[in-house]
Amino acid sequence: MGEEDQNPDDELVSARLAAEMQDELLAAGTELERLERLLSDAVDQLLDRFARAHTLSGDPGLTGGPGSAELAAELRGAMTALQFQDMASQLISHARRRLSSVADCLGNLAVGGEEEGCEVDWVKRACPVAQRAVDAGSIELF
Amino acid sequence: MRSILAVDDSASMRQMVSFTLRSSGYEVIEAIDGQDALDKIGDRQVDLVLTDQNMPRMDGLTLIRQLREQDRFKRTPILVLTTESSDEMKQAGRAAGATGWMVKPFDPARLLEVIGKVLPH
Repeated sequence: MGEEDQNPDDELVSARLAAEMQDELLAAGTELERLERLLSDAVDQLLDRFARAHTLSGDPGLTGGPGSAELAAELRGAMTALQFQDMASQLISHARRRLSSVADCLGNLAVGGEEEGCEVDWVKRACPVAQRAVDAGSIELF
Repeated sequence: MRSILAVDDSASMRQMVSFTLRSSGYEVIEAIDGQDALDKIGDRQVDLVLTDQNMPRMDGLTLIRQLREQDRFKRTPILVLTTESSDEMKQAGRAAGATGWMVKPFDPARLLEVIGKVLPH
């Protein structure tokens, strides 16, 4: 039996399923957006407190001075760790674009537009964030 | 006072880079992407440019190419500070005219050390 002989009821079920999956993917994208905002807000607060703590500690600098080497080292470590939000934000943005791309594709299928093909370029693009830990990255001078 | 143009679309990264540089006595001009950087510097000169790569409107490599086209930025050190760590991207950065490539996250002491090394005396 060829594809043209597919039962109309089956097509309807497939279209409904595609529409439901699209809704779920869009909802997941919205949740990721909320997560991104929460992280951004948390880092804003952490940075404010970091700056205040730095001032209260007598401005020991980040490279260490006489008697403040330990404190400077802790501040440097905190500064490096606080950069997690930048990487997390890029990962979330990339994941949201992937979800959106697949959701659009499913939406297209749900309305019977499969012959037009799907725009899934985003799914194929490599994520710019390869880091798996918040350790200081490499430096290369040309 | 030496001036540094810091370009990053992430507000928290701009804040951390600026904090690190200002606490070491540098003047910092902040920009949110390549286009904003070109708009902010206008006709003035800066001693060093520190830029992210992936940004809206104009990315870091395009910014570098545009700066290198101007005589006043031919010898200015330009460092890329980015999450991108592939060899292909680094080579593209080198070809565009970058002085160095730093992968995020940065260690404040190492960032200051590299800046001290590439800044003309």
